[in-house]
Amino acid sequence: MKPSEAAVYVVDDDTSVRQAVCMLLRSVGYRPIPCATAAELLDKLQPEVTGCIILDVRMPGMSGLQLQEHMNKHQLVLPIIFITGHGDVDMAVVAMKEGAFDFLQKPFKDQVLLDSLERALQKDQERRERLKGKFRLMEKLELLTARERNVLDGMVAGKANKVTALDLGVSERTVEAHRARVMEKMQARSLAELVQEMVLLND
Amino acid sequence: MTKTEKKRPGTLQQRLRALEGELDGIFAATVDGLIIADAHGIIRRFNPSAEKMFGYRADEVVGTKLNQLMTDRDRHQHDGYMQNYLKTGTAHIIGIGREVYGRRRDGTEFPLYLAVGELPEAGNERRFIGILRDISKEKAMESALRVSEQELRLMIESAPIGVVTLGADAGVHYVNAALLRMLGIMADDIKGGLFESWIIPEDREHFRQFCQKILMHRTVAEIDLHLRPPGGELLHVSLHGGLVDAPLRGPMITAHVINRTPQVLAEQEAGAHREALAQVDRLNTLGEMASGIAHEINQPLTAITAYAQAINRMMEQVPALPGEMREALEQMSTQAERAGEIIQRMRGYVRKRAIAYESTDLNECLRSIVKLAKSNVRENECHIHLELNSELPRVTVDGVQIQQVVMNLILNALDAMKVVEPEKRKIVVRTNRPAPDRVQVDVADRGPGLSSTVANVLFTPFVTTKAGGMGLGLPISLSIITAHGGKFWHASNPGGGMCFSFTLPVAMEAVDEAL
Repeated sequence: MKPSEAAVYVVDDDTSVRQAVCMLLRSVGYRPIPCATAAELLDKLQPEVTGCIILDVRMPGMSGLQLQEHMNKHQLVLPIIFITGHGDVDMAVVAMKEGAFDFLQKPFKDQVLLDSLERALQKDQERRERLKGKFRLMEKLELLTARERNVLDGMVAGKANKVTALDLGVSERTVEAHRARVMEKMQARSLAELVQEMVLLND
Repeated sequence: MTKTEKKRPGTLQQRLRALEGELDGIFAATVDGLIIADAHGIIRRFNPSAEKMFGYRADEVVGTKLNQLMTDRDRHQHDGYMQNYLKTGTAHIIGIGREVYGRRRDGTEFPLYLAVGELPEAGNERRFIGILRDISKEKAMESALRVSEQELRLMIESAPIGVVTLGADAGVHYVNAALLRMLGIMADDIKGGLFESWIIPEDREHFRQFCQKILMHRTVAEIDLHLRPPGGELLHVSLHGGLVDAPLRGPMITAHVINRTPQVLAEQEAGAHREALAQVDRLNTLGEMASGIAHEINQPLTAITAYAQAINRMMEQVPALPGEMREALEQMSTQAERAGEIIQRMRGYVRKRAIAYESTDLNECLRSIVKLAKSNVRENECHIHLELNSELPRVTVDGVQIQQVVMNLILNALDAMKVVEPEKRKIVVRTNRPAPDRVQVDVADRGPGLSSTVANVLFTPFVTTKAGGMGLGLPISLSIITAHGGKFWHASNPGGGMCFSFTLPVAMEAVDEAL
């Protein structure tokens, strides 16, 4: 993914900090979205786009930590990199516990922020891809009949056709036929690939 | 009188009669009672004063026995005395006089002074004269004097403050019960002792000057001393001394001794408490200042660094950039980062002070800080009222830090109520347990409340409404409570004024107990 495609939000009430960080990000090809308040961020937020929030901890109105809490509650999932002028250990602990991606002390080295941002975006990207894969798998699963689903469960559980046939009260040949259709509908090239996909679903 | 006798003419008989008349006159006019009796104890004569004294007329008692004028105690012995005297010639009373009791006609008894003499024999008969003086008044006065002296002694003896009497040589003459108790010694221990020996050596010279001042200038004096009685604890006492001119002993010093030990210890404790609070206050203020300054300076530093780094990166695409310019840009961001590190170190240094967590009785903690706050406030200036929930579990906190928060809130409340009439000023410090896992402390005042403008910047460091304030009190309080894992907020007091509240977490064991 190109940096210009990511939605990087810079949330800081201090105008000069906000502008400087944005300029730094632009200098390496990002297209940062500046926000002066937490409310402005919630307004501009595009949850469907891969992104990251660079967030000041202490702001008037909704603070950085409160915004994090709000996003968690509303299942707005985006990695957050906190930046703070108050290297407060307690605060960092709370933020990280609540799932913050990183916690940086102001002023920071550009490379530290850029590295952290890159990793955050990569993580978000991976998460989105995993999610996409999950959706695809669920779509494929919906194509199966109830009987085919039973046979699939037997396959994932590592049962022999004979055992599944006995479980379902059908002939072994019938199970074999179902099995072929399952492989076809799930677009699986091997049993191993199918099992792996199914494990991811439950992840 | 001899001259008149000589002048008087007449026969011997006439002259005897005249003498008899004179004697009768003297007998009748004498203020003392005169009774003449014979050797058998029969009354022969009884003068008007005796009549008045005993309530008998002379004609009633003349010819009767003398001992009816005596009390039962004396009566039976009288005859014996008489017999003895007549036989041996030794009298216990004749020519000496003694105090005895008389018995009036109505049976009442009274003290009298009795002198007995033997008259020259008239014929064969021996006669005795008794001269009696009613001494009831003197006796009554004497006994009244004794009672008042006893009362006085009792008053001094049982006075609730110590009293000591010292001779001019500072030797101890008298110590009352209160002082004995104070010193923890027995009355026997003081005999011949020097008061000085109970005083700690450093104070003795001072005490001698005190005695000198009283004795030389005949004035009153005061002194604070430290006493260490044998086997006892150190006592802080005040002596108020004055001079007594004792009739026989000469000048003496009498002094009241007031034990100020409890007050002095309480003051010392309060002083130490105040000092500990002040120390925590200084450190907290320093910490909050460092933190505030760090935040304020870190913002522009962050901007400087980011701008410099941004330019640096943009310049990477310009190949012909002079090396010096690039280096200057790099230096710019390096130096800004360095400034940031300096601030970081400074704050780290100040923040090293760890919270001293201890299992604490929050109510007790508040009681003691409110006591201290009260000692800074005159009673009529403001009422500080405690409403403590007695069911509160112990909390694990840094008691001194929590006290600092409460002290801060009380001082703020006092400031806020300066515009209110003194009799309406009231602060309530309340504890509660709103949920099993936390306790709550409220500090409510009756001040004018807060405008929303002020309320918004309440916790912003360096913002203050007070002339000499630093604007750190509430930010510090917030930091302390947050560090304890509690919440800190404020609301309007339903009856007018503001109420600041904070919670503190309750240890898990206590929560389990409550559930």
